[in-house]
Amino acid sequence: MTIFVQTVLGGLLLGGVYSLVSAGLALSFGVTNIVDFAHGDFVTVGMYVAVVLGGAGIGPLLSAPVAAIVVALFGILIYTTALRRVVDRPQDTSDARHVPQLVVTFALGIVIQNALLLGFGPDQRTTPGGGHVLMLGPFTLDRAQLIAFCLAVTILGLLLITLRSTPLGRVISAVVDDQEVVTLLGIRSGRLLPLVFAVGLGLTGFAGSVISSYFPAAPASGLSFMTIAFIAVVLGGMRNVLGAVVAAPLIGITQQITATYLSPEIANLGVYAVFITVLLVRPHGLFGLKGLA
Amino acid sequence: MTGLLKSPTTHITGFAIAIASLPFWLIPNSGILAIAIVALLYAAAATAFNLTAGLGGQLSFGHSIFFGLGAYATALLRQDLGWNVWAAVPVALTIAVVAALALALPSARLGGVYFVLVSFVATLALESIATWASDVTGGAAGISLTVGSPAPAELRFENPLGHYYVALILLTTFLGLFAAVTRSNFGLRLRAVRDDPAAAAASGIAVARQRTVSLLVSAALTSLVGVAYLQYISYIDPTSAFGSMTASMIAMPALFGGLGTLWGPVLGATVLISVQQTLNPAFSGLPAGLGLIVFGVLVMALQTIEPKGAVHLLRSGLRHLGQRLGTSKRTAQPAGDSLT
Repeated sequence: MTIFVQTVLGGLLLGGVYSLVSAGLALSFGVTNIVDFAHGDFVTVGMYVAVVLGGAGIGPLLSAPVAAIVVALFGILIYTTALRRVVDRPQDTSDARHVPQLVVTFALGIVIQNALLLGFGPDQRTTPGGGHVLMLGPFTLDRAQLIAFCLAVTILGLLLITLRSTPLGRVISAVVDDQEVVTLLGIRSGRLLPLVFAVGLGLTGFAGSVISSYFPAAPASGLSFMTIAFIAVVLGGMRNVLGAVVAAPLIGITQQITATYLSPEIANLGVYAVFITVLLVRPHGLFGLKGLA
Repeated sequence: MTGLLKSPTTHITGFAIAIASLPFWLIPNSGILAIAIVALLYAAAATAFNLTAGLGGQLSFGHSIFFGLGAYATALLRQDLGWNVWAAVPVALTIAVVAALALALPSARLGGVYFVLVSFVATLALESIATWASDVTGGAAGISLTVGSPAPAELRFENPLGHYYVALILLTTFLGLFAAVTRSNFGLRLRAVRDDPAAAAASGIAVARQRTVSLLVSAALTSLVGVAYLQYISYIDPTSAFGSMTASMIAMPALFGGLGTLWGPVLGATVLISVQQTLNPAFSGLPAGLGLIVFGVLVMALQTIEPKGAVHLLRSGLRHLGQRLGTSKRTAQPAGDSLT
């Protein structure tokens, strides 16, 4: 029983940060219609920002806001140079309408991974600090993971409040509902879209920096975070930020249970199995949530 | 005569003859030959991918599933049971078709982005299974086949030229098949499903069935490329079989060259695989990563300039050039000539 609770607790702590990554993906997909196949690699960029600042003695938690800004600016750059031209056109009904955007983000992911490989080499990098363990009765908690979890919960709380009960949040939800009508009402969705995309990536960069406090950075680290975020977003109902936030810890827990009771090598296999089962049984998400938040 | 010149069969035959002659005059050494073999193999895989992605609109980011299954099936049957490649081929085909059925089950009714995600996740799942089941697959270290004495009848050649021609035969066959499917009723139904699934269903087309059949055919063909790849390299591991890079090296040539066009995947593989292979540190001594940066930037640039692909870009460029040459020729003609 102790092992089980310890496993679930570990999964929950990891899940907090997965929520942050998944919320970023749900936000950019929900608002801009971009299925971002480079999303995991933006996590990696956040990790390397923390690695670089770590070289100057700055801890990954303090680097997190810087990582968020760097990744968000990078996102605006990518959106305005490449993605703007290839985003989904809602009036197009063909199956092929997503193709250019998927291809561009997938290729972007390849470019980011290999640029990091070129710049930092293939070895794993770590950030200073970490390795501290807290005891809570019979359970051990990694201090870095606990702080990361608390940070993630705070930021996600702020994000959800913003989306639900501020004028900006209502405008964003309106863009999701009908971009054309919103434009007719005088809102410049042309500016809002890159901004929201950048905010989603900012969350992701923040998460990356925080993750580097307990997970070593390597050029291809992002792949597993991207897969987790994709699965969380699908389980959460594709365009719903709250759904993705809730689904991500479930994935963290599934991953830890598979690792503990089967084998750490196939930790993600349990997650994939849950994903395929949910798609077969409830293809429109676990919770049936509608709207953005 | 002009009909014959325009027919895809003529083009494919001409292409096959031209490519078959390359080793005799253009390919100078075994290094370049190796790149050409890999490019031909990926061109064949991309053509198979094009059958379901280009004609059927099912963008699979997990075609490495079928490639990897074909390669692993052959490797295991040869290593553990001592079978020869011809006995392994039907097994590889069967496994690939079963896997495609399993993939089609949840995704044929979902379509769109869901299919992309499911296929991508499925190939990563297979990668972790192949790593984990090390008793059977050799785990992350992979399977290395002993080369043994060459046996051309079993597709084991001393001279890599043998593999070059095997790859060319595969590619030519796939191109012929693609052209035939494009012209068939089935191809018409597939394109109808791709362009508007709702309208296709309303006109009485069984949408899920068209998608499933195209995926099965495409999977079977892709697994053959896996078999040919294994015969050539004699080595397979989880990442080179099912990893995301293999998935993208099958999909990207078709997407770069032009989805749904006959020559797009060939053009795409020629450009992208050559770039990736020549800039690779083992070949050129350049730092690791550079080749794939160029690969990715090329794909991004082309998609933002012309989402329909390089073939369209080339064709409109040629038409433009033709028009300019045409008009200048016309103006150069003396006025009296037009009377005769």
